[in-house]
Amino acid sequence: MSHIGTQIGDLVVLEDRRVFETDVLVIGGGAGARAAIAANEAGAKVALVDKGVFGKAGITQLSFGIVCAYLEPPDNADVLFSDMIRAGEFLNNQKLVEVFAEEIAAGKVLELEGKYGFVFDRMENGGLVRKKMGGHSYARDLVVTWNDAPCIWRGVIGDLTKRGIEVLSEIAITDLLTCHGLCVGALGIDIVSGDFIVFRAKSTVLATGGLGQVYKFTDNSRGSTGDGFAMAYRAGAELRDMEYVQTMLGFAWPRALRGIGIGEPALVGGKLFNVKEERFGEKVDPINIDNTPKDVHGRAVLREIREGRGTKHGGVYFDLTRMGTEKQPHYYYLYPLAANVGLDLSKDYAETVPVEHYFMGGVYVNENHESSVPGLFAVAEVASGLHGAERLAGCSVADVTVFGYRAGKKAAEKALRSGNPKIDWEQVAKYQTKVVDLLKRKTSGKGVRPVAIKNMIRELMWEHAHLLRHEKGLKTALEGLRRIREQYLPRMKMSSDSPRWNYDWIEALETANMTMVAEMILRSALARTETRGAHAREDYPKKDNDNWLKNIVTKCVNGKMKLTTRPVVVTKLKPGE
Amino acid sequence: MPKPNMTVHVHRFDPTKDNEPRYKSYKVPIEESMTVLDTLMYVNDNIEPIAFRYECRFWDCGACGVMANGRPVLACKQAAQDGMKIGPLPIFPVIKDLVVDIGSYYRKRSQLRPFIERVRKPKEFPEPEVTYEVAQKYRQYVDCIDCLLCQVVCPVLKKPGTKFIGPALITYIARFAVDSRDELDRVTIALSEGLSECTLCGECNKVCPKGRNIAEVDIMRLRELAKERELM
Repeated sequence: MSHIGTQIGDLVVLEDRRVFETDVLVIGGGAGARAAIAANEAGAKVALVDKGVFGKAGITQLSFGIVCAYLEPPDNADVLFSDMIRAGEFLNNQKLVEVFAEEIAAGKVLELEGKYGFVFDRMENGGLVRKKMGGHSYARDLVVTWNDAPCIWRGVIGDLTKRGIEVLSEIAITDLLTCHGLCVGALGIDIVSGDFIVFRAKSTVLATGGLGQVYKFTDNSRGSTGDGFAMAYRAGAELRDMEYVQTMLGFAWPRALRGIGIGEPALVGGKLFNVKEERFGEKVDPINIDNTPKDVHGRAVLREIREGRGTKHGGVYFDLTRMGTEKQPHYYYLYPLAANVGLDLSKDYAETVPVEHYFMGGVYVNENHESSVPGLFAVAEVASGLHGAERLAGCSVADVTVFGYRAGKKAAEKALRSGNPKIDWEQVAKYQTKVVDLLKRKTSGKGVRPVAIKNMIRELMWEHAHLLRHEKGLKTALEGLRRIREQYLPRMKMSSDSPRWNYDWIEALETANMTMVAEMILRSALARTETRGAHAREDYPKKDNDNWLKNIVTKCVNGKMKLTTRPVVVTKLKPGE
Repeated sequence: MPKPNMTVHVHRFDPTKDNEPRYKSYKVPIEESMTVLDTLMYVNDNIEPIAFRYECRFWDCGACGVMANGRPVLACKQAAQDGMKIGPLPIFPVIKDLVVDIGSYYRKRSQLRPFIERVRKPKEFPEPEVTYEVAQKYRQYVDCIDCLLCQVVCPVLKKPGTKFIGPALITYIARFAVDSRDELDRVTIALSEGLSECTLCGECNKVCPKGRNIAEVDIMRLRELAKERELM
């Protein structure tokens, strides 16, 4: 058992299986850390499991720059609310946005500075450094120069340590457990030993983050393989807005930097050129050449590449030579990072592509963060509804911080009212056999390693489900995915049948999850025959309010993926107002 | 023309099966500006699986520390070299290949009360007490990513009977010692954890992937605070 941090409590043995019992099970170490704190504060027994080493794995620890945290009059919750709904093009769940905006306005992020002992950037006069980011009406984003979220998160981790919360690192959750329609915990593998553990919990909080690894280029870390979306789907939960992927410009080359985020041209003081050194942004917006929204310049970049004006390494040039002069201290870290692999950003052009950055869709949750499966809560990137069709800068770390806590609190309240959940041991046996079979399977002929299949999925999604989408491409990708499902997944083979630290095995589980979420993205993208926010269809370039003020719902019905639509959740701001 | 290759020798060891570790050689096609991590990923994805940790790929999570030709490095930062030997960080038990059990470090860290201790509640947000100077000072400490390279290289930690807890853990104490919001006596903790045993040899500074000056910013500052109170 790799219980980095605190000692694991005693496991009980039930039905010949090792069982860990807790009131609240939290899966994931970003928003999950805040959830665990809240559950502990509410008096519930809580355990947090992380697929990697807690504090190192996941995107929260890596995110940089900005957090939406400071609202000063005339700015208020209503203004933030309407900014988020307008950016999200009315696909947001307004009930969630209302709560979120009120919590930010109440200073729920800001108060953590003193409580957890980190420091937001200050100006020389002592005032907080505040940025007005794209789409925000006011300068409400606070900055912690480089290492911002890690620095906030160090405080969060400190608080977990202080409370003695049980943290289990390097546990891969394979499936959520359900019994009579309730979520009753999860089945996990201790990656180090390869042993199974049944987690029995009254409430389960899913905080597993995004799915960047489904795309060829992403700034997400290794573990972002969409596990949470796939597990919730298999458990019967409703997912929404699965067509909504956010990108940002990142490095295309050298290999060591591939996918690592750079930022918007206007923000980092950079300029984009194609291989002929033309400023192609002129074609899109001659006035604001480099000051267009993420998805607009992202699409322009992809068009240049597709039409043969890309660079040797499959990107376009990004001139960042003026970056150092543009008072952008929180981007300075890019200089040593690039210099380390022989790229002098003060002289040389970087090569860039829009990389997968954030996922707006996910598990549907109500305003108590509970999914459509009772007992299963979901929060932050794995949940949908807060950001709608496009997320504003700084609203993700804020989401993780504020909603992470709130979800943990709601989960604990529910757990403390509930009796001991009943485990369906047949289900456990079925899930465990499925996972063990992967390891022990004998394939006739040549097997395929999970990583090879992952790369196929990444290429397909990059080619057809990126910023430039059309019916033909999406159908081609779905066909490719069907081939992967029918011809490659059954031949997936591990290099070793040892369960001990066998990452091939973990990757096999991830590959199955990636196949599932890729299909959700493709089918939702195909269904939405309009262009709205981050989802743009070349064959339907206009927004269609008459038909598409709806969320697309993905759900598993009798073993089949079924898509339906629901009208958007409106409270205060009606479309068209 | 086939791409030219480089050879890397990677530590392979499963303590539950193997009597002793061995280094296995792999040929890796040379690409522009390859890092140690690039070579490990190449071998893992194209030749055979190796057990190693990594997460972020840009020196920010500190998960991929390994020994390259006998020196502790972050795999995602260190340039790859032909003939390079890649091994696990010493001083920790090997779980498999390059993955080590760092639990002892985390257990020690949690004993140091690595969180702000504060009974006095701030009256307003943002706190006027946190000035520009405080923010600048604080920044010197947040770069530490717990990669443990300094712990591995510290000669004092290798001395039998030493009380010194090592540079990375001293950083945790120093970070709170200089924070005026923290109310715990961190200097006394540092002294009881062997602060005076550090020889200021600077080996930790040389391996820090973030370029921190641990000897000066952490050790010296703590010693100054101890001297001011005539504790050393």
